[in-house]
Amino acid sequence: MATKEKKKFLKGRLTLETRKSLYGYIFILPWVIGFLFFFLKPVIQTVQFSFSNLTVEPTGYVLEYIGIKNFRDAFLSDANFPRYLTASIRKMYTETPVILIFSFFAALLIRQKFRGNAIIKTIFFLPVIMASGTFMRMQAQAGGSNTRDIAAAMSEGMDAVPVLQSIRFQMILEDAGFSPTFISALTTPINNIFNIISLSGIQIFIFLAGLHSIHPSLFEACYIEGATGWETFWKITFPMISPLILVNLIYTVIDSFTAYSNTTMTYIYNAAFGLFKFGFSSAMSLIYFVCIGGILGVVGLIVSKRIFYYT
Amino acid sequence: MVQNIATVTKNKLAKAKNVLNEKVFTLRVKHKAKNWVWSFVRSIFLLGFAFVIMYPILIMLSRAFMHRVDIYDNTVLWIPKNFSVENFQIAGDMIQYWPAFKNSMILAITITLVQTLSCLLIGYGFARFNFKLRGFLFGIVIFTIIVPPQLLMVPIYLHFRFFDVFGIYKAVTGNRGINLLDTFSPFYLLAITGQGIKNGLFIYIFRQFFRGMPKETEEAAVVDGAGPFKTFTTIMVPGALTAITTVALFSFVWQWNDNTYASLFLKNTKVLPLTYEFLGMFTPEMAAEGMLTTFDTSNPYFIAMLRSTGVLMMIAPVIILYIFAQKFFVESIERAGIIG
Repeated sequence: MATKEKKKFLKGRLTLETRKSLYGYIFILPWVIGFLFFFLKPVIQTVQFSFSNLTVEPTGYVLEYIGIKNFRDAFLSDANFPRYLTASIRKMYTETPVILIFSFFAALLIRQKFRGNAIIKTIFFLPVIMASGTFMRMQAQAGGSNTRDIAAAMSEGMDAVPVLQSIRFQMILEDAGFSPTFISALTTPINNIFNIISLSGIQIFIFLAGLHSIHPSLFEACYIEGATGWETFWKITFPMISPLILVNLIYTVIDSFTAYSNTTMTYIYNAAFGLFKFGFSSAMSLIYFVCIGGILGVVGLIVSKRIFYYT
Repeated sequence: MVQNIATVTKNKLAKAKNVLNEKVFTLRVKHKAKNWVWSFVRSIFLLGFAFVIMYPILIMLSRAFMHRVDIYDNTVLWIPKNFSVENFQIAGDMIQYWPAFKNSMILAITITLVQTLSCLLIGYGFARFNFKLRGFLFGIVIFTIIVPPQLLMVPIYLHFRFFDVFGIYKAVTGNRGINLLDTFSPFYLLAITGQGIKNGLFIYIFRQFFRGMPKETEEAAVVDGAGPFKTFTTIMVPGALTAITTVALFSFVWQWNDNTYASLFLKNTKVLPLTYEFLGMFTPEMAAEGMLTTFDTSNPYFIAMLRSTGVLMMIAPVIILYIFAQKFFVESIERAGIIG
């Protein structure tokens, strides 16, 4: 009896609003716990480790404060880190625009009605599955190329054959006596086609979902007013999709920086678990993260001003 | 006279009609031609891209079923002359396929279930309840997406190497924490709390999906006396099936392919992304069993062939799953619920 009354009393005291907000907290409670223990604490520890020398012993780990030595080492005495870092950044800004344009184009193509649409869609989203994780690395090793490409690659002194490369075409051009700059200008885009397409899966997915969410009445109005397809694209499709361009831009940048195939990531991992330089690795990952964060911030600021929000 | 005028006008009218018809006809032809040209160009583009995407799979298939004698045959390019499944045996031995497959499968399936459920709850909490810190906390969720796992790698590793909650274990036994490495529990702990692989993205997907669902059904359920959990299980979850399938698919695939966390937490437990490293390493017994000569084992073409086979064996489950789930997956795009 008493508990029931107490319950009633409690229920009466809490308004619907407070109760709802309480339930909200209950739903997200697991995430809050996870965030505190598996995210916030590790981040703080990474900062702490990066200023120290960490050694693991059977009963625990020992920290020894050494100031900013790890950071200095990363830039000044490590031979590879600055090189890998700049390479990663360069890769990001050369690939991202191409990926965005390609995925937008592909989404526009797939959206149209034609026979075999379902099959094409299935194939186009295959990279979402194939390009994630280890497959990219494996494909770089096992590769799509056939035995003759392997032979060609080995004669050129490469140990792995990336997929769909124009090695033989390159060799023909070389034999024909074209200058190396001309050859590389011609073949680099071709060599990157597979790379670009396999990195565009999620982006196509997002653009396509965005295209589907544009209300058909807008296109209808355009059609009645006599706008051409070109005008419709620039006046309707593009502005309506522009928020997703930002989303995709950010996703692509992150994807490029955190991909398994990224050399900086591998290097940071090996420094910790191959060479057991935990503190040094933490310092490098911190530098890397600050770079990512800075680039994302700048890009986001520039692009978000030009975005059209339809409310 | 009158008749004459009438016939003249008639003629004129007929002529005008003819001209008009002709014009309409040419317009129609032009339109048709334009359509035809466009669909032709479009098919070239689409088929080209589709080919590029399918190319690695096709060539892996072709090489996996090829007997190694075909390597030396210059007339064999795509279709093997000597079909054999020998490659599967050798590559399977190398990557210890069945034990690793079993472990990977158990891990991926359980993690998918746990992760999807926890992200579903969390996403729902962010979408449908108003609380003070909601905007701030959701901002953090987005932030967790952009942080590379490598930043947290060392502390997380140490955390599970010496696992302890508030120092209780240390207080009781005096040792520094339990070693949770080489078990699946680190994966589960991360998944339950929504901190696993790309879980921020999953939370985001669910939140956007639930935000798009009409408020009225939920209110009706509340008026009928259903609590928030009952509303969630009876109204919201059945409505979110497409989003759930999408997230489950992603979750399975990313877990199956994951190398970062697997190599962090597992040393002696075999899972496929880790045993893949053994591909291309021959053991003496293998050479005896498969009647391989030293020439074979040092032949890079043959090793490349085995690599293709190994990759194919690894991605086969994921591709099969994708073929079954792609209908939901594609549908979830058309529903456009995913992007709000």
